[in-house]
Amino acid sequence: MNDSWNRRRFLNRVAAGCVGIAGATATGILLRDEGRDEPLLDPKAVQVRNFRAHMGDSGEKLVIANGDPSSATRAAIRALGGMERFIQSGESVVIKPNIGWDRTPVQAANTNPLVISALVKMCLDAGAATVVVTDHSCNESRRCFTRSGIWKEASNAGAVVVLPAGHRFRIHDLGGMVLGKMPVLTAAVRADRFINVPVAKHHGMSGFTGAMKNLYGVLGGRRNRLHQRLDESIADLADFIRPTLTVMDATRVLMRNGPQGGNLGDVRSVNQVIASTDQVAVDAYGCGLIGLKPTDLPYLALAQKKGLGTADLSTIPREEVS
Amino acid sequence: MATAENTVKVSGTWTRLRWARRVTQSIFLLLFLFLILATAAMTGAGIDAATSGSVPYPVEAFLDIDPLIGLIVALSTGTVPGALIFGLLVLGSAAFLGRGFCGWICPMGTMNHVASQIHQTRHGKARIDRNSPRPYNKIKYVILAGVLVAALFGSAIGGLFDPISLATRGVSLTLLPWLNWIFGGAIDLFAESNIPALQHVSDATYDAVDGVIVYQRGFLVGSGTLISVLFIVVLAANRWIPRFWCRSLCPLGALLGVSGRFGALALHKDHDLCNQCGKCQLDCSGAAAPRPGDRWQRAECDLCMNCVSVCDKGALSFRLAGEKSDEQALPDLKRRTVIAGAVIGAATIPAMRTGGLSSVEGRPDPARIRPPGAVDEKEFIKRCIRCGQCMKICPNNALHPALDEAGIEGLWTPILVPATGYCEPTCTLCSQVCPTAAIRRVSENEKLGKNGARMVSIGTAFFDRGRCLPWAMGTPCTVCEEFCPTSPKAILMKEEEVEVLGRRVKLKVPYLDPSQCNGCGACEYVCPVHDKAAIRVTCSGESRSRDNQLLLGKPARKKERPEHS
Repeated sequence: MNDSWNRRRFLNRVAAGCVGIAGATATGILLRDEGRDEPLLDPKAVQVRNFRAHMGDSGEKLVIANGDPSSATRAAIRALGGMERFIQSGESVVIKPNIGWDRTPVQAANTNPLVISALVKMCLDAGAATVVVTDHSCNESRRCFTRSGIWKEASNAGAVVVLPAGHRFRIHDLGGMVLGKMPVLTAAVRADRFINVPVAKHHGMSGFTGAMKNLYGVLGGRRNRLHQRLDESIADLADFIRPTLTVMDATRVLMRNGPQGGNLGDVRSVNQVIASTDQVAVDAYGCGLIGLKPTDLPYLALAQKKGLGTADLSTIPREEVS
Repeated sequence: MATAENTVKVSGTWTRLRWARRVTQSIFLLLFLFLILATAAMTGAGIDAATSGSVPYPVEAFLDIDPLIGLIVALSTGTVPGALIFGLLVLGSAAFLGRGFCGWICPMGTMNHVASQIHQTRHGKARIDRNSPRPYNKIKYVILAGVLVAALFGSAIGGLFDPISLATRGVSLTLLPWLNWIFGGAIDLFAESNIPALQHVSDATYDAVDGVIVYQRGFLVGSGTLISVLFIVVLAANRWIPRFWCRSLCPLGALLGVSGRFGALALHKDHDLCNQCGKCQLDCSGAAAPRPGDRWQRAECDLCMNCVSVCDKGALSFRLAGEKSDEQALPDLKRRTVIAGAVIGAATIPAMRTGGLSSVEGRPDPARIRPPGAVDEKEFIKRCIRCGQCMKICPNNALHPALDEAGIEGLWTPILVPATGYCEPTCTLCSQVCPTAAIRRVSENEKLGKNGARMVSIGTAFFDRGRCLPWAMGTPCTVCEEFCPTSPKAILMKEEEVEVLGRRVKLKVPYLDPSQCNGCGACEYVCPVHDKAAIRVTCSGESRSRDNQLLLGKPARKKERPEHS
C-alpha cells in the first residue's frame, strides 16, 4: 500500500477502534453472566421461597372434603376460609400439579385435571393476575401434559400452562442438608403465591408420595441422584419451597406399583380432596390412605424437626366437609 | 429465464405450462416439508387425553405414492401393503406422462432443481454441453435393476436409493436436528442473557416452535453425520451437473422413464422452423436432447416445459404421441448393462447374508433393538426402506439409524438407543407412520400387555451389579424401579444385606423379572450411573423373534390384578 498513513486516517482508525471496544464492553456488560444464579433474596440466608400467606389467628387446620373432584376442591378451600384469604387481587399464582407420567386421569398417576381447573378458577375469581400451571415431567412432557388432561382443563379454565423447557431452569442455592445448588424451574417459583397440588400415590422407595415429594417437580438437572438420600432431599425441598397452600388430590389413589401405576387394578376411588396450609400434615394424613402410618415416613419427622409443620395428626384440628 | 416479449406470441401456452409446473413443484415441496414438520403426535391445550396418541395428518403420503417403494415391497414380500396401492396409480400415470412426476411432483427433484438454479455460472455453449445426454446417465438403470433384484432376494435395501426416502431422511434426520440445535441454542442464549426483553423473546419463540422445530428431549441422530454428508453431496452435485441425482442415479426416475415407453405425450420437432439456436437445450432439466436434429430421449424428459417455452421459432411442441416425432422411446441400453445391474443386486444380498454383513443370518447384535411392532428381522429387512419417519416422530429421540448394528444390509434401519432415549410407555407413533408395515400397527394395550393383549417386548434389561449403587456401593437408589412402566413392575426392590467395604449394609436392592420386562429402556436411560448405566437393555427376548428368546414357554402375558369396584 502506497497511500501512506496521515493524521486523519490515524484518528479515524483510533476512533473506530474505541467505538468497537466500547461496543464490545457494553455488550459484555449487558450479557454478563452472574453465575446464572438467581440474585440472592437475602445474602445471609439460603434462597427460601416462602409463599405463605398471613393466616391471622385462626392457625393451621386440615380439611378433608368428600365428593366429586370439582366440588370437593371447592368445599375444601371454602372450609379454609376461601381463596381470598390466601390470594390478594393482582397477585401471580403458580399451581404445581403432579404431571409426571404418560398416564391418563383414570390411572391416577397424575393430579386429577378437574381439581386443577377448579383451583385455577378460584384463583382467578379471587383476583389473581396470572395463574401458571407447570411441572417438570418424568416422561416426555408434551405427552404428559396432554394425556393427563391438565393442559386442556387448565387452559380452558384460564391458566397459562408452561412447559418445563430447558431454558426455563436456573441454578438456585437450596441450602439444604443434601441439596445445594440445583437447577430450579423458574416458572414454578417466580410468583407471589404457590399452591402445591399433589396426587396421593404409593411410591416404591419413599413409601408414599404426596405433597412434599411432589416438589421434586420444580427441580431440573439430574434428579436421579436425589433418591440416594430421599428423605433428606424431600425435607430439604419442603424447606426451600413453603407453599401458600397444599391441596392433595385423593379422588383416585394409586395403591401400589407407584409412582407410575398403569393398571386400573392398582387404583382405588377415595373421592377426597385434602387441603391445608401445613404440607407436612397433609402428607401425614395422605399416607394413611394407602395404609401407612406417619411414622413409616422418615421425611415427615425430618420436616417436623425443621419446623415445617406437624407430622402428628392429633395436634392439628381436622374438619371434614363435603 | 426466458425473455417473455418475443416468446409469448408463439409459445404462450408453453410459458403458462412452465409456470404451472413451477407452481406445482412449489406446492408439492411445501406440502412435503409441512408433512415432515407435522410428523409428530397431537399434543397441546386443545387436545383430549384420548386422542393425543394419534398422528393428525397422513404424514407418510409421499412415501405411499412412490411406485418404487411399492414395487420393492411387493417383490420382497409377495404382498402390497394397502397404502402402497397409490404408488401403482403413479406408475399408471407414467404410462401417459413418463417422468412428469420427476419434473412436477417429486420433492427430491424439486430440491435438486432449486439447487441447480442457484448461482448458475455456466452460460451459452458450456451450459448446453452440461444439459446434453451423457453415458453416465444410464447408471440409474443399473441401480434400478440392482434394487429390484435385491428386493426379489428379500431385501428392501433399495430404499437407500429411493428419492422420496432420501428426501424424507435428508430433511428429517439432517436439516431438522440442525434447526433444533440452532434454535435451541439461541433460545438458551437469550434466556441466560439476564435481559428481560430477550428472555421474553426466548420464551415466546420456544412456545411457538416447541415440538415442531425444538424438541425438549433433543434431536441427536446416531450416525446422522453420514446421512448429512451424503444428502449434501447429492444437493451439491447440482453445482457441476444440474439434477445429477435425477439424471444419473435415481432408480425411481429410471422406473418411470421405462414405464413411459408408450407415453401419450411426445415432443414434436419442426425442423423447418428450427434455426439451431440451441436455447431449448440451455435449461433442459432432464438432459433429454430436445434440439431438432438430436433424438429426443423420452425416458429422460421430465416435462419441465423449458424447451418449448423458450423456443422463439415455435419449432418445438408437445403433442399427443402417434404423430411423427423424432424420438428415442427407450433408453439406449445394452443388454449387458442391465444384466450387470441385476447381477450386482443378486450377488450383493447373498454376499452380505453369508459374509456377516446382514442382521438376518447369525446371532443378533445386542444393540439391534427394534421399535415396538417391528416384524421379525427377516421380514423387517424385506420392508424397511430407511425413510427415517419413525426416528423423526419418536418423542423421546430414542430411535436412531443403525450404522453397523444391523450389518451393512441394515444400514440406517431404526434401532432404539436407550442411552439417548427410551420407549415411551404408551406411545405407538412409530408404528402409525411406517409406510411399509416394517413396524406394524401396535395398540396401547399391546405396549403394556393390558386388557388381555400380549405384551410387545423389544428386549430385556440386565443389571450390571458391579456398577449398581445399591448392589456395589450400598447406596440407596430406586430410579430404575420408579421409571419401570409395566404393572406389575419388571424391576423389584428387595431388602437385603450387601457387603460394602467389608461392612454388611442392609438396604433395598433391585432385581429384574425378565417375564415382565418389555425392554423399553427407561431404566437404562434414567440410571444415575451416567456414562454406562448399571442396567442395560439388549434385544434378547424381543417378542417378534422366535429364536432370540431366553425364557422357556410362551412370551409373557401380563398378570393382571382384578379391578377394584
